[in-house]
Amino acid sequence: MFNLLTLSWRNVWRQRGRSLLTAGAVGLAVFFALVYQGLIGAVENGMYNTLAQAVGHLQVRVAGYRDKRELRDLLIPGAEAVKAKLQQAQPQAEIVVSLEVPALLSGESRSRGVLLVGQEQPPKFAQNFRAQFLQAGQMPTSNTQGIALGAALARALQVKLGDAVYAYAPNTQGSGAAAYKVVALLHFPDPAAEGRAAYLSLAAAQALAAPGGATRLELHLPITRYSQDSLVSALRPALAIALGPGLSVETWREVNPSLAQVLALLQPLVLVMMLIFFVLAGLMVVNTVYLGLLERTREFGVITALGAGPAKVTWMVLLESLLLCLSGAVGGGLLGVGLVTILSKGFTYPGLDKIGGTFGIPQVLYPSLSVWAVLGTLLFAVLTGLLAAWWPARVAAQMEPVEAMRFNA
Amino acid sequence: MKGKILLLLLGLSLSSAASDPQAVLKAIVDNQRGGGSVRATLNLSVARTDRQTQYVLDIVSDGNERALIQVKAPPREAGQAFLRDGDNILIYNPTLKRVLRLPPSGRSDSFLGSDLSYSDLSGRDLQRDYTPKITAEDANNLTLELTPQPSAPTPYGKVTIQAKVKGYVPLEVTFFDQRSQAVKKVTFAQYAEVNGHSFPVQTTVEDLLHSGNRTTLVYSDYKFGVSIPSGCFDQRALVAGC
Repeated sequence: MFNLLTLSWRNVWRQRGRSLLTAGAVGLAVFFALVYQGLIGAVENGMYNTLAQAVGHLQVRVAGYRDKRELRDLLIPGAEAVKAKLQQAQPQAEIVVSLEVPALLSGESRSRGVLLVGQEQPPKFAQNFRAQFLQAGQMPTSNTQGIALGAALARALQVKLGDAVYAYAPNTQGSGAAAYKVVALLHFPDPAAEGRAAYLSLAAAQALAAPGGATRLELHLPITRYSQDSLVSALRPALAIALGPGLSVETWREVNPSLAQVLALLQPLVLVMMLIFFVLAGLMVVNTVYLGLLERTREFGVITALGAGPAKVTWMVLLESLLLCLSGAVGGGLLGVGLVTILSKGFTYPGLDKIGGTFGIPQVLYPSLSVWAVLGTLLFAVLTGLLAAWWPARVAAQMEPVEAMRFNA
Repeated sequence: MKGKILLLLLGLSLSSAASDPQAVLKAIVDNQRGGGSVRATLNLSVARTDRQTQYVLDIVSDGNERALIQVKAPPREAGQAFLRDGDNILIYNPTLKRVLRLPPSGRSDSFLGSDLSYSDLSGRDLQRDYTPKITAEDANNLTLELTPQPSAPTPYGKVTIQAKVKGYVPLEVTFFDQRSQAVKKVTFAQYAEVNGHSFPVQTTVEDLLHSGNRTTLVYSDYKFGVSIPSGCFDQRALVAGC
């Protein structure tokens, strides 16, 4: 075996230029595959975290809420008690309480129909929200009549920071109408979201439309990687039983199915791209191994005449191909892991916020690679080596020694 | 002989009016609106599966595009007022002490949580925004199918109206969404003869997508053909009444 390995290694580098080119092609395929997986993983985790931050990993609402139109039908009965049950069931989770009120919002001369959102967030979430979306001013606090508006909505209403806006929410159980001071302007990557964003404190929204009421409870679990998402689906049935009938518990996937579909497409896309990379590299390996076989036909004849059987000849050709692919894969792998390590500190590029904002892709991406991703890519390289050399190896194994020794290229 | 010719001409003229869908639609809307200006009290009853809310409204309308509606009861909602002047709908809220302008996109929103939209309150949207076609007619009743005009600000894909052939008295209006699913049905009852029109004193609006959601409007103390000053349809009237 040791002799065969030495012989194969020597044979690989007989045509140094051609072998370097082929090993380089395999290395490039491994490099691209690793960097691509790192980037896709970053997009996947970024989208997942943005989505989960916006809607929670799990969301509790009134059962059949999609068919209900009136605010009073959408209110969660005993919202405080439900929140306590959730906290008891998942002590490590953070809970966001929201009250969404359909209302007419008016400036001095213009008005728009909006969904006023009153929110009570844990400090960490409020800080994240400010860091991501606050353009100017301060977010409203529970003891002020302040309102935060999307910058586009503020433009549409022709109001600026410090101006008054008036909310009219008829047929509700609160005051039904109130005046607020614009205390913050928000910027969202999605212009449509910015055009309808209006945030109050939970207390102000409750005073307007539903004292003590909430329409949505979000459960935020300490999960930051998409690969851990199976925990969310597993938790859902137990929570639904704990909360009892009349309430629905939905995962972020059910709340936002279109973005969940985009996320689900990313992994198959990685596989398709890797297949393309390695098929192209494999064609180069076939070419190199077969040319090497043609050039050494007489040599194979001599080896066979000296007693090497078909299995040994096949194994020698396969080993040459494997050594060729692995030397490229190690080089490409080192470069790929190196680049992903550098990029893992965070990177962005111009326009990412505009392109990716609609899909919840964050402005800064943090690529990363798991050990399994690296091992999987190397396995792809090994399989490429084996498959590419299979046919030339069969040809070599079936050669007649006499004919092979008489062969003239 | 002369008499026969006159009768024939009269018959021809009536049949041509009856086959003109636009004229039929106008006659139906005239009946629905009472044919002119009106002052009335309107009892609005909003029924849901688990509750019922009663409103008392004062209405002043010129029978066309202008109407002032003031909420008198319940006390919690009293003082609110709504003014429609053509495409403009203004809302007065006594808590805010302000007049708010309803944007065009809000015209199909629910009025006071009922099954009526702001657009349903007055005006002649059916005449203005739709193209009518008579799809069925027998000795007693006829059916008009209304297709929205391309630029019409309506969420509906189709509207059908059933009316009596005699006098074009409205019986039922059904609204369909863009997928031709019936979403709202309006039925008329208790007709009063006013100024040559059969005015439906009671109107019931049924939400066909949410079983049990129903709004009933009953007019009382109505006076048709009264003179209404134009000051009743400006912003001062929203606050001070008319």
